[in-house]
Formats: sequence, C-alpha cells, structure tokens
Amino acid sequence: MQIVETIFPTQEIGSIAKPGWRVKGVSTESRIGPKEIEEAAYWGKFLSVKGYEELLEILKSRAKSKSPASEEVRDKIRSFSVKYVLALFEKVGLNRVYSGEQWRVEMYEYLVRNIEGFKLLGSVHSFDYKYFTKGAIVGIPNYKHPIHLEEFEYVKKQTSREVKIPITGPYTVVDWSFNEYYEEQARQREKNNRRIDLRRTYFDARRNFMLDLVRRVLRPEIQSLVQNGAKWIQIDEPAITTRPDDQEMELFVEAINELTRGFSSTCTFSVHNCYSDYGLLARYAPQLKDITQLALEFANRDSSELGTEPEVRPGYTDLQLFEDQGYRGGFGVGVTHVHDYNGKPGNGASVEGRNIIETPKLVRDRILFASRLLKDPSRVSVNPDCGLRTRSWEITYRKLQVMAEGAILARKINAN
Amino acid sequence: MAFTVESTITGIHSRSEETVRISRDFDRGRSTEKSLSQSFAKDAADLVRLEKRSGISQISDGQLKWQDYIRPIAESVEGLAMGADLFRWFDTNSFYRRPTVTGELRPGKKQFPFRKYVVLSALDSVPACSRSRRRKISLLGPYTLASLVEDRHYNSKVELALAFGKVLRKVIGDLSKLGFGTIQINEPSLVYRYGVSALTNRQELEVFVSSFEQNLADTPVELLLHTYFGDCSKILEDLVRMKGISSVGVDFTQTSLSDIESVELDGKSLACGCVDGRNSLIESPEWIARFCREAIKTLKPSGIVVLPSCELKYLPRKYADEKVASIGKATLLLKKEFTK
Repeated sequence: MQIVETIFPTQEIGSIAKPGWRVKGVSTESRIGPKEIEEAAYWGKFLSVKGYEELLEILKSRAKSKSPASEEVRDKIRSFSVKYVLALFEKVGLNRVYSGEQWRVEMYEYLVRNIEGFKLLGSVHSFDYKYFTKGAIVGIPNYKHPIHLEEFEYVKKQTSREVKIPITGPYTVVDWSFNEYYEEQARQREKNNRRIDLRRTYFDARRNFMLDLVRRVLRPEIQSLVQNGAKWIQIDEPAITTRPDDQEMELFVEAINELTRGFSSTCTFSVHNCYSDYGLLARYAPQLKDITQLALEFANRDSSELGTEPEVRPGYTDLQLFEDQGYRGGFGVGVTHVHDYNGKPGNGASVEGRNIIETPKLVRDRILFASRLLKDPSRVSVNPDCGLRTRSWEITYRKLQVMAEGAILARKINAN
Repeated sequence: MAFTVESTITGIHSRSEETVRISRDFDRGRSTEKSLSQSFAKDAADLVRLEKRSGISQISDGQLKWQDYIRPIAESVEGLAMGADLFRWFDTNSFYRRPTVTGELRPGKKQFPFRKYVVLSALDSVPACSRSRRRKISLLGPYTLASLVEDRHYNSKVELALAFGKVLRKVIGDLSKLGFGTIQINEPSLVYRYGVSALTNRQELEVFVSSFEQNLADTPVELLLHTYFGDCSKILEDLVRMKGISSVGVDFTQTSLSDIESVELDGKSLACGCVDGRNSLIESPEWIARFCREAIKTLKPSGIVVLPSCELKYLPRKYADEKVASIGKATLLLKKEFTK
C-alpha cells in the first residue's frame, strides 16, 4: 500500500452507485437480465477488471437460475463490485481509494446491523416517496465482531494505492437512531420526582448513548483496523450541525476525541461532513485533537465560472471561517458537485441532463483558490463534495476524471 | 364550564410499510397511481379505525398524502411557486421542497386541493365526525410559513406573515366547508431554537399575534395553536392571551413544566405534548396520564388535549400507531378522573 506524497492528492469520499448487476445479483427478489450482463461486460472491459469474465459467467448462470443465489455467489458478486470501483478509481488516477462502499448495504444500516443492542424498526419518511430504515438502541451497545475488517483486507489486496477506510461516526449513528434504552433509564431515574422533566432526561440519555457507543463498539473497531494495518480512517459525520447549538457541538467534539484517543501515532483520521453550517463547525474544529483533515463540500456553494478571484469562488471563502477560528489542519476540498443540478452553468462547466459537468480548468481554479487562501498547498486534498452514489457510472467516471485532470493542472501551476 | 378532556394526533402521521413499498415502486415507475391511491385510502382508513377504537376524540386521516405541510398550500395560492430544492425540516432527518414567493400572495380562485390530499372516505366512515369539531386537520401557521419559504417579493417577514394570515383564512374556510370543525395551527418556528426559521425578536411575535387575530380569530372552526421543536416558556403568556384559539400546545420534550408554572392559561385548554413524537419508546397510558395530571394541577387549564409533541411521521408506522393507542387509553383514564 502506497502512502501518497504528491501535492493536491485526489481521494474518494463516499459511496458510488451500486451497478444493476450488483443489486440484482445479491437480491432475492430481482433477476439478472441481459442489460445487467451487458453493463458488467462493458465496464469490466473498459476498466480492465482482472478476471471479470468469471463475473460474466456467474451472472449468466444467475440469469438462467430460478433459485436464489447462494451466499458464496452473493459474496463473489459483492467482491467483484469492489474490484470494479477500485479499477474505476485507479483508471481515473485517484491517489487515495476505498470500495465506494459496495460491500455495505448503506452507511447506517450496515453498521447498526452488526452491533449488539440495536434493532431496526422500519421505514421513516425522508421526502416525497423516499424513506430510510431507522433503528433504535434497545440495550447497551456491544461489539460482536470486527465490522469493516474483511472489507478492508479485501480492498488492501486489490489495490496498490493508499487506502482510506470510511466509518460512520458516533454523532451520526446516535442522531439517526431512536434512543430507547438510555431514555428509559433516564426516565426511571426520574420516576420518584413529582415532575418529569423530559428536556433534562433527553440530553443525559443522548450523551450516555454516544459515549457507550464510542467506548464499547467504535474504539474496538478502530483498534481492530489499526492492528491490521489501517493507516487512514475517515469518520463520516453528516449529522453534525443538524442541531446547531453549543451543547450538541461540545458533545460531538467529546465523542470524536474519545474515539481517536491513542491511535493517532499510527493512523491518520479525517472527518467528512457536507451541506452543513460551516460557521458553527469552524468554531469547534480546532478542538478536534487527532483530526488532521476535514473533508467538506464546497462545489455546491460555488459558482461555475472560471477564475481564482474571491468573486467567482464564493463557495470556498468558507475556508476562511476555519482559518479565523485557528484550525490549522488539512482539508479534503470538495471540487465537484454530486447531486441533481438545475441551475445555469458558468463558463467552467456544462449541463447534461440533471448533471453539471465541471471542466478540469474549473477544478484547477477551485484547488488553487483554496490553496492560496490556506497559504499552504500541502493542506489541500481533492475530492468530490460527497459520495457520487446518485450519479450514473458514466457521469461518475467523467466527474472523477475531470477532478484528477484538474488536480494535475493545479500541480503544474503550483510548481511554477 | 365543565373541564374537557380530549385527544388528537399532531398532523402528518407515518405511512405503513405497504404504502412505503408501493410509493417507492410508484416513484420508480413500477406501480400505478391507482394502486398508490388505494394504498393511501386503506392506510388512512386503518388509522381512523385505530383512533376511533382507542378513544381519540379529534379524528384525522393522518394527512398521509402530504409530502410536507407546505406543498398543498403552495398549490392553492397565487404568488407562491413550488420549489425544487430540498431543505431540512427543522432539526429532523426529513426534508421539504421550499417554495418561492414570486408575487403578492392571493388565496386564488382555486379551492384547497382537498381531493388530492384528504382521504375523505376514511373520515366519512366515522359518522360522528362527518361534519363536526371531531373532524380535524393540521396546517402550518402564518409565522412558520413565512419562515420557511424563500421570499423574493415582500422582502419583509412581517409583511409576509400578514399575507399568509390572509391566505390561511381562505384555506380554513375551504376546509370548514368540507366538515372540518377543528384545525390545529402548527407553529414550530415560534419556538425553534436554531437558525433563520427561529423567532428572533419581540416585534416578530407581535406581528404573528396580529396576523393571527386579524385573519383567523373569527373563523368558523375551533383552533388549536401548537408550538413544538422548542421551548415555549418565553412566549407562552403572549400566546394564551391571543383571541380566536381554544387550546394552546406545549412540546414538553422541549419545555419544562417548572418554567411555565406561573403562566395563567386564561380559560384556555392545554394541548399537552408529552408523548415524544421523535422517540420510538412507547409511553404507557398511565405514564401519560400522570404527566397530564401534574400539568393540569400546575397550570389549571379549562381542559386538556392529549397529543404527541410533534407529528408522528418521524416514527415507523407500528410505533406511531402504538403511541396513538396509548394516548387514547390515557384520555379515557383522565376522563374518568376529571369529567365525573
């Protein structure tokens, strides 16, 4: 496994869409058809995925079969989807890679399914006809077995690039779960009081849940990864600043510092957050003792005009908030938009369907602006705003390619 | 006047797993509009039956077809363009599409789009609530509406809240014609702690009161004003003095009873939001009754409405339904005790 030494290293940040053959291949309800086989053949050949012909044979056999796939076959299909994503990352030239979370169902559900004390309760409305599965903590959380180790070992074997493992952070797991067990405990403690104060029980219960999750589950998980050679762990915390007050942010800092305590001599830690209140996060960033990189979304807030003047780079001026608060760590700077786009692009991008496609020059200008604002190019890594899982593989490939090319252009200018 | 004990749910309820499945399929082009509509109708009918069986006094269809509170309003008002961008719904993990105010807000000639959003068949199945104060629906109030839309016309939250007051008057009139006798006005922004949707100064509170009293004080329905997602202790006295409302709601997961014990409810009923709409932990009827008993003893309201702290859409359906059943049973316990 290489350690990246280039300036403006490029990195993946989150999940990549699961190909149709991956979804249907492991599903007990859907069946593989010619479209999925064609998709696997096209990308396997295009990305030069080693041994992809074996996948095609598996898929053809699945297309003919009426019985559900065995666990062994499902594992093979899952493993191939990791190989495909790694091949895509390597072909476009990313420096820091992982599996695009192909191994996992989803960042929350996969984790809590593997922790004792959680129970998945059912579907909750998010917006329109979109829902998410929500779980509850119903007992003390306990570490049953390594959760991400098998995935990490597999990725390590498949790539020579630097590996960065994403894990879902404690604040997000707690925020996305119902807190039954600790709330019940807190209410029991109040039962002899004439008046029940739900506001007080709520925060105590939330803190106890978070710290137990860190100490009893997430620290052992990090220990297992570090002992087996993990050099970089990205803590995904999309939920921070959802409840933007000091008490909550102090709890976030406490949980992260406790999570990383004692591991930083052998492992680098970063935090990924997006679509958030950076003014608030910036105030607390200097207190994150072992976090050496904040990987954040900026392209979404920016214009798509070319240039390195503040007027055309409004999204990246938020970096100044962190500078002003005394944060001196690195940034994973989001340089490509990842969601639907329905605006009018500037001269540094074009629109295709519901996608904005940045040009390498626009990426270059964003990197250079960030680097100049931070007065130190070594503090800048380059990534998409967030995972590209809502984009097709064609768009994902192009966006990552543009990102890698933009980083090369920025390196050239920086070197002069 | 005799003490009244009532109960209700707070607005949008949770969709069943079956409706979740069918609506997901519909979204992906794999099921028809008809099957989705049938699923919503069954879902609403199941909920109404549960409410009736549990002893809930103000019956709602659960507003299951509402993707968010703003969309049906936006569809019936001129000057408000439906937005595409998603915004977080307060500090929850759900989102709404933010509309833009593009011109003067007018109620328009169109009626509130009830056929699209209200499952009347479910409500009509309960004869006692076919046309009465037992038939209930929840809307956002003028202040919260003004806080959550993008304003490109008025450039003043004050003016915008006043304009929304006029719009709501028309919407409430339309709903009254459909037999809704009780309307809950939800105003989370009045008490929400964070960000731009929070009440920032006394002047805005006065504007809200003024907009409400000017436009809604003499509507032909009973109005329950509910505040949630925040602590109402600083403004509760102002709210209970408002004309035109019969009940004032408190989210007790966010407000301590001790902090409002000196407030006189001025002959109003207390809508007691002690059932946590954001936690799957099910409160027992006895626990709810105990909480309400203490609130009645402390605040001396003219009556009590037992309800969840907020809408139950944040819970999977099974747990939301269990909360409804608990509220109904707690209501029966309180009725025995307070309405002899």
